[in-house]
Amino acid sequence: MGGKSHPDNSQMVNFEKQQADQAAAKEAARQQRLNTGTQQINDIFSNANFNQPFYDKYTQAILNYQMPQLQDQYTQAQNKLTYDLARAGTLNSTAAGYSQGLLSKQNLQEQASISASADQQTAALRNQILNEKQTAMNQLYSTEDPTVAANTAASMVAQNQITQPNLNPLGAIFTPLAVGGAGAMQSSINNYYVQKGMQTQPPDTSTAIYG
Amino acid sequence: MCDPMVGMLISAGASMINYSQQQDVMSQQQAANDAWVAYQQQAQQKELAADEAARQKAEAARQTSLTDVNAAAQKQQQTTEQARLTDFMTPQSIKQQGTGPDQYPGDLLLSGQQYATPEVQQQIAGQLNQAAQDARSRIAALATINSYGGSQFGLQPTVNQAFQTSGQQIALQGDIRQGDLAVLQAARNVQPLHIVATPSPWGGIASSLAGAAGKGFGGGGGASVAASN
Repeated sequence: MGGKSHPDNSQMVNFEKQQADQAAAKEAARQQRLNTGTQQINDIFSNANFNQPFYDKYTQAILNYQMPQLQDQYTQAQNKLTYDLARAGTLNSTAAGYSQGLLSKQNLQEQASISASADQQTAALRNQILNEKQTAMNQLYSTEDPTVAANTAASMVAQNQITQPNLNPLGAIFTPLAVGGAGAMQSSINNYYVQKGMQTQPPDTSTAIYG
Repeated sequence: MCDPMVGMLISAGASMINYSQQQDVMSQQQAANDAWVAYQQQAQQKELAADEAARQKAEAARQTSLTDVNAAAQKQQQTTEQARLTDFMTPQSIKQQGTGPDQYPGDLLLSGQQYATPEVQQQIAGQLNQAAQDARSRIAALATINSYGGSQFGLQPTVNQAFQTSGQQIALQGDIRQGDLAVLQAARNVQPLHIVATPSPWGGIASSLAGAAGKGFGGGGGASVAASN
């Protein structure tokens, strides 16, 4: 008589246990996909792909684009200064040294400025890639599918190849100094005419033009 | 005619059967309850262990980020980056320049100046050296400024990267913890086994027999009384 079966809710309990077991298995699989997907994204955005040479190449490309422009303008400014000083008869004078110093300092500072800009643009590229990695991570969590996330990451890697730096041509950098050199020459000419008693124009107009 | 003792014995037997039946149900229910508690405890322990493991990973990531962004690390990073930027931004013409008081690269001389008097050349060299010195100062200042801000390894991107890396690990572990918690909730939804006690047919038969026996004993007596009257 003892130990015999009685009516119970075992069918429902077994079903609930089955559901709980399925949830546990599903969650384990989801976590596996998350870990796999995270690893895939980390691999894609690792130093093996986005390493220092990758960024150095970007930096150097900016420098190679902008430095020659600066060098061209500097050479033109040097030539103009040479001609202006020569016409003024002050090529071998202390005044020439002063103008050369100004021109040289401006050139050096512009080189540094271009380098700094290239470095900051490279920093922006690094930040962009970090953001892309974060986006890939977010999509991984949304989809929980490491394959889709990896494809997204790979797509972003492809997109990143077409990112363009700021390569606007340099403006006229040395013009003020070159005009200043011409102004010095004009001033010398005026002095010459004054000494000869043949001043052609008031000095204030020359400063207005050549400032 | 039934003996009253027979009825009493049958009634006692019926009670024993019912009692045994109740004991059996109670025993089975107790076992079911114990199993349910053990199941819930196991699920709870499993979730707690998984949660703690994930929490420790998240905490390790957080500690790593703190190590990366503490004051000493940031100062060191800024100093290193300042030196790198100073070297990177300084033009080669200055780097190649001699250390003497009047040393300057030949390409800075204008054509025709090589024929100037030594005094003039000395003065030009002085001006160019002063220009280089001024440029060096400004470049160093610019390198210092940028090392705090948006250069490649300046504080801003470095700290951002440290926090982003730790944040991604913390988010991953947080996501895993939420999943584990959902699994625990599914286990908590499992209800205990409820056993329903039903009357035993043997107990019912025994009760019927006891009733019949009692009725027979009582009915026979009445008839004899009526007969005697």
